[in-house]
Amino acid sequence: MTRRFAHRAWVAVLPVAAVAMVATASLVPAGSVEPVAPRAVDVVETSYACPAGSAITLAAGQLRAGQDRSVRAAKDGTIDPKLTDPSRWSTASVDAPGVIVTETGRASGPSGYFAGRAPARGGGGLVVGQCSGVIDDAWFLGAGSGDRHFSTLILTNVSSAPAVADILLWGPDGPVDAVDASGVALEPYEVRRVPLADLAAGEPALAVQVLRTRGAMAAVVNDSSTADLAGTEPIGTTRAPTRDQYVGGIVGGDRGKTLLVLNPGESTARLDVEIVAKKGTFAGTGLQDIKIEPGEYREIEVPASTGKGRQAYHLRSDRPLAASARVNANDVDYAVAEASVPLEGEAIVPIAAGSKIAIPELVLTAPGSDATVDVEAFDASMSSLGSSTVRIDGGTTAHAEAVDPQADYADDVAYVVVRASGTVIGASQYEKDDGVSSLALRAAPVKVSAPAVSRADN
Amino acid sequence: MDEPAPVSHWLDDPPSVGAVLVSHNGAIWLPKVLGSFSRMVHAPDAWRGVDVASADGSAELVRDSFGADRVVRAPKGTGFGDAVRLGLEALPRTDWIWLLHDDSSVLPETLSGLLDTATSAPDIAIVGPKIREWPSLQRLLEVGLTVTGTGGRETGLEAGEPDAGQHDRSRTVLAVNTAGMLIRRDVWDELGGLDPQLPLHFDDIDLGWRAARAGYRTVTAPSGVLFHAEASTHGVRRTVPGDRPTWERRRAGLFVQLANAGPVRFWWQYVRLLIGSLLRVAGLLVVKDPESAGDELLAVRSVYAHPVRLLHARQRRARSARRPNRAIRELFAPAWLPYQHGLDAARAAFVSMVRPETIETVGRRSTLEQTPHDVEELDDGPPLLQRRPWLVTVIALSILSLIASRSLLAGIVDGGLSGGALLRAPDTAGGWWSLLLGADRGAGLSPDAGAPLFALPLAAAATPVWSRPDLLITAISIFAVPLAGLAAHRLGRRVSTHRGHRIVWALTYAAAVAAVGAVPQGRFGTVVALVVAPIIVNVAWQLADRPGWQTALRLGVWIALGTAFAPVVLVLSLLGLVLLWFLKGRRFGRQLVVVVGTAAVLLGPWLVQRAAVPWRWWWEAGRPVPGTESMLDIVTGRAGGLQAPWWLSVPVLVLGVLALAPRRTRSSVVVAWGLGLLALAVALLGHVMSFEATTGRTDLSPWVAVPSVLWFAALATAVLLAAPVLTNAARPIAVAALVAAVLMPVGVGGWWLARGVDGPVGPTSDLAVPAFLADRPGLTLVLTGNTADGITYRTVDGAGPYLGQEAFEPSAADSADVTEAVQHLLGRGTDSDIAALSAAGVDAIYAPDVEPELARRIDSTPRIEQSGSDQPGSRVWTLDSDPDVNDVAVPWWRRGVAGVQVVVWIVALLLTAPVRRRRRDETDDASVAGRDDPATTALPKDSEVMTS
Repeated sequence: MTRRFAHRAWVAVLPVAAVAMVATASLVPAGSVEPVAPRAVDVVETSYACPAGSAITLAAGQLRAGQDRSVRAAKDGTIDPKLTDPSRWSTASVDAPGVIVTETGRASGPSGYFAGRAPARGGGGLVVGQCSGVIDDAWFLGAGSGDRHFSTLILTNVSSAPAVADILLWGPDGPVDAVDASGVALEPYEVRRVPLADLAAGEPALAVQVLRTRGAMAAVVNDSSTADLAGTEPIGTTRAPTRDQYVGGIVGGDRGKTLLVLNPGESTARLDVEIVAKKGTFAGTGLQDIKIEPGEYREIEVPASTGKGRQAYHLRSDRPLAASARVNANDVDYAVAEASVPLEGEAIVPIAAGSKIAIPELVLTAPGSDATVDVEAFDASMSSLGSSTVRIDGGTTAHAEAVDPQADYADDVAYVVVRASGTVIGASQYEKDDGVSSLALRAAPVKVSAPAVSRADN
Repeated sequence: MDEPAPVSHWLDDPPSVGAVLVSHNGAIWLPKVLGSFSRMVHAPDAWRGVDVASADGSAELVRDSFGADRVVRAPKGTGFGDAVRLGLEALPRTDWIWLLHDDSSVLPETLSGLLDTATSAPDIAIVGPKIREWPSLQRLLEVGLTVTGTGGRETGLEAGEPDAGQHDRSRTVLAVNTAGMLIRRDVWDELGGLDPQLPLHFDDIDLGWRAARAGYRTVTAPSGVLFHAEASTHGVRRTVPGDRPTWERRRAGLFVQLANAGPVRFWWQYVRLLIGSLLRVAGLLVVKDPESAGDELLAVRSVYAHPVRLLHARQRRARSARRPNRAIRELFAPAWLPYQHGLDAARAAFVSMVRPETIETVGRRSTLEQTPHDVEELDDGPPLLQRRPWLVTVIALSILSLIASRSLLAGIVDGGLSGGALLRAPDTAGGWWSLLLGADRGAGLSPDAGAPLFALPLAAAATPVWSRPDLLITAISIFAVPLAGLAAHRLGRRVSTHRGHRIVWALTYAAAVAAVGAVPQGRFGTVVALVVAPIIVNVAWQLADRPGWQTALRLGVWIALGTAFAPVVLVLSLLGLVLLWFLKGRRFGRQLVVVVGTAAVLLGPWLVQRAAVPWRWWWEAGRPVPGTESMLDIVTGRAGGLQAPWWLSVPVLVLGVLALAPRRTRSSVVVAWGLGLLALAVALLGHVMSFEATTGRTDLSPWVAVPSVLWFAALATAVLLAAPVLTNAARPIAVAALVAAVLMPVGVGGWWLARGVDGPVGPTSDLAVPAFLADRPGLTLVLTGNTADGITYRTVDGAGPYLGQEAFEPSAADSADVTEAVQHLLGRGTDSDIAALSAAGVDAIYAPDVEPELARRIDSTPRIEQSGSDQPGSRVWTLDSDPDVNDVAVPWWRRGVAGVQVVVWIVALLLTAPVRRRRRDETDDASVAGRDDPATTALPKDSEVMTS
């Protein structure tokens, strides 16, 4: 009986084998196509545009020596050959409306700066700015076109193809209808200075958005005021609207500080501001639950109770906002600090950019945990001269001289390179005479995040 | 040409008729033939028999019938014309001569019928009877003759056409057969009788042609009926040394054409027939009919090697001609007729391949012997579905395919199909030939990769539709399901003798092909492989039953064909062969070596490039689109994506398990299960692994449809094998099994019809790139994907790659420069990136659906300009550079290998085709036994003939 049963039952081995095979295969992870994360790609060529003029000194440098640097001056301006050496920190003045620099070199981190002192008739004051790379969607806060507050948008086409951008303006009452602001086209390598008054006159407070739609375009705003609070400041791009951001590098402000906020959305935003100061972070009195109407650009006077020390503003909102801060240092000059992302990589801080600026002070904020910042000084031949380290307690703002004035190499320093360990937001503050200027610490372009690329199998 | 019915006025003064019967080894037919002469209502005035060296007693039979003084003996080798000439010498002069064969019998009214017509007009010189087949008696053989431009004998009748009186009107023709030919004696003398150069064949056509040019008419007399066994034509006449060779027929055809053609047409015919004959030789060799090819060559040599003989023949005809050929051109066959016959032959060959189930005939021919009244009351027999169920099923399946493929039908009109894994077809079939044998490849393609083997069968199959190769892809895609059913059904004949069971089984297999969703996903390789798979099993089965090198060769060819489209077929086939070897033992080893060796040789470099590269055998014809199958999909014969609900397959799986129960069929069921488990193992292996295509992606999930469907089909086969036991079980069990078995094909059919072929595949109405980019000289860089999942790019030449070109995609290493340039382009592009793209032949970038951020990055790249696009969301840029668009040269040895591969395939196909040989025993008396013996087949009764 058992044998007969076994004889009949052996065929069950086949279905059992099938089940066993399926069960075994189920234990093995199935092959699948995994999404490929974006990767960092070495930057091998960088173009940037700098406002130029006889009163402005250009400084061109890089983290590591590049392969080639070409400089093109608008309207056939004369180029100082010193500027074309990619292995040096080069400074020169170019008598032209603007200069376009293209530097090649794998991960060389080219950066350009401009510095000078604005003429008194234009507002006076110290000007230190970073040359603009190709912008995608650039936001500038703190501009104006009236009431003796005038800004000029400097657009530069840095490539051989036509470039087009749309310019949008916001004022305290919402979006401003600008004239001929849509589809602003620039011929190859053209530099165009666009007074905002030509787009929308009589607006003492303006926020500007430049949206590149075609080609490669650089943009920077030169802001000047001859009003009661006079001065000149190059306004760099601030962060695109976001819900959580820091505006760092705020120093002094004897004549007050102004928080510049834009709500480009279609809903009212509620804003809370914290002050990250030397001793810690605290909520700004009068800076809580601020309602920003849709499309509203508002300049908020920061209460004096928040102090005058080195600070950073931490802005949190329920809607994306763009923000900057204007520091009215004195009656003759002011500085504009832009919101920036935490420093990742290495940032260049110009020291030798003509004789009109002094050694800056680094204002560093560690919004989260403790952080350190290494500051390494280089001479014009890109040789390291020395370095120092700045420690920042979490939730505080610290400061340090970019170069120790007592150091024996202090006079030889052309620039310093700042490297952060931890989350650090910072700016370099320039002060000379009555002039002030702020320059956010931005990493030199070494790598760029790009989607992973693979060839399709047709 | 129809004429009014003649009146028998000749009876008032009957013309004299002398009959000449020529015999040669016709003893089989002569008793009946001679007997028919004795019953004639109007007999000839004189008789003469001429026996040409018969060795079977024919002369004695004639002598006994006619009398010794009326029989003339001719030496062997004497032609029919000369034999008649000898008979006439001994025959008193008469008004008419009646020529008779020893294999043609007459009816009592035959001669009177001929005379009715012969005396109806003074210009009638030759009259021929209506000739019907003997022994069938009802099929028409000839009612007049003509000749085609290629030297073919043309009757104007369909093969096996029954005589229903449809030709019973006298008409003027070019010629009539010498069997029963009635010819005026004076015309015979004027024309010199039958040409001695045409001793056996085409003498009748030649005589009629000459008579026509001399101003006489040759007329058919349907009222005179003659039955002809066509012994020489069918090769049933016993031959002796000295008889005419087999190539004589073709020689005579060529000779008659060239001897009678007009002066101008002669040269055209001279060249045309020579070239045409050589082409026929090639064609006959291709179809492995070497004997006919040899006959053709000998015939050509005989005619063309004797120009003087031909010249004399033309001179003789010129002397008797009174009018040109153009005056009688209506008597010749249309120019297209030979080609019509060629198509008919091809159609017959196709029908024989897909012939329906054996049917019960209603015997239509025999019914024609009934009276007209009876014909009207004919019973049509059982309905077509009952008589030809599979034919009806295939027709229904084809119609359903058209309905289900409604979204693809536009592809028939123009453009073909593409989408999913399927690339478009080339502009012409030459595209596929170029892939194989071309000296260069388009810019952006790799010269180092071998040509995809599937391009060879595609090129060969698409050549007849040269300018529309897409029709081939479209037709196969649309009719994939019925094609799979046809292939399965042929295998089913071997598996089961029960018609209903195997039809359901074939439908189940066809439904499995529909259910897996290969067509809507553009898995063309899967489609072909699943159509070929049952054929492979069928041939393997033949090999197991009757081992032989030719069958092994054929199996190797089929495996290679399936592997060309879906390399995993090779893996499955090898596993199956191992199982076969296990079952059949070592005796089978040599056969397997032939199979594997043949497949390996035929696959050639493709074996190395695709099938032998680990895991790359999963890459089928077309794009290597990853599979998305789940474990449940595999178990239920699916492969993920667009597929029928899995639960429809469950009943078959359950029945497959139950099929193991019956002991009587268990051994064969176990074999089916074994094959199924092998397929399941391969499918599961594909499920847990990934593979790498040429471009370096190593994470492609295989598409496992082929092994998955074969696993399911094996279980369905197990059910088919056990079906006789199941159907003999208790009625409730049998009914339940039947319902379960039909649920899958019916359910899938409903799903298929309702959903249609709705997937990525569709008519190729849109180009891969905007039209203005396709017209640019350089390549277009097409970017797809997004930042999160990664961007893939491809370089497109013109309208985009076509099926087969995917094999030439450069490897990851070869395209590293382009990949890096694209990577930089999407990060921060530079001048050098544009230069790299230009060096690769790129002069435009097309992003059908690009993220704004990426678009801005590309925008900011130097030497690049935005351009207009074709649809919202897409972006186009053109590069300010001169692209390097030079085609890449293919190494000479690759073309050489491809050429050899083509030759090897042709040789293999020729070797697998059966060799046609004439039956040697046809010349033996024994061969006649295989046919109806005319000597024992009674002629129809007079009354029957009168009514027919």
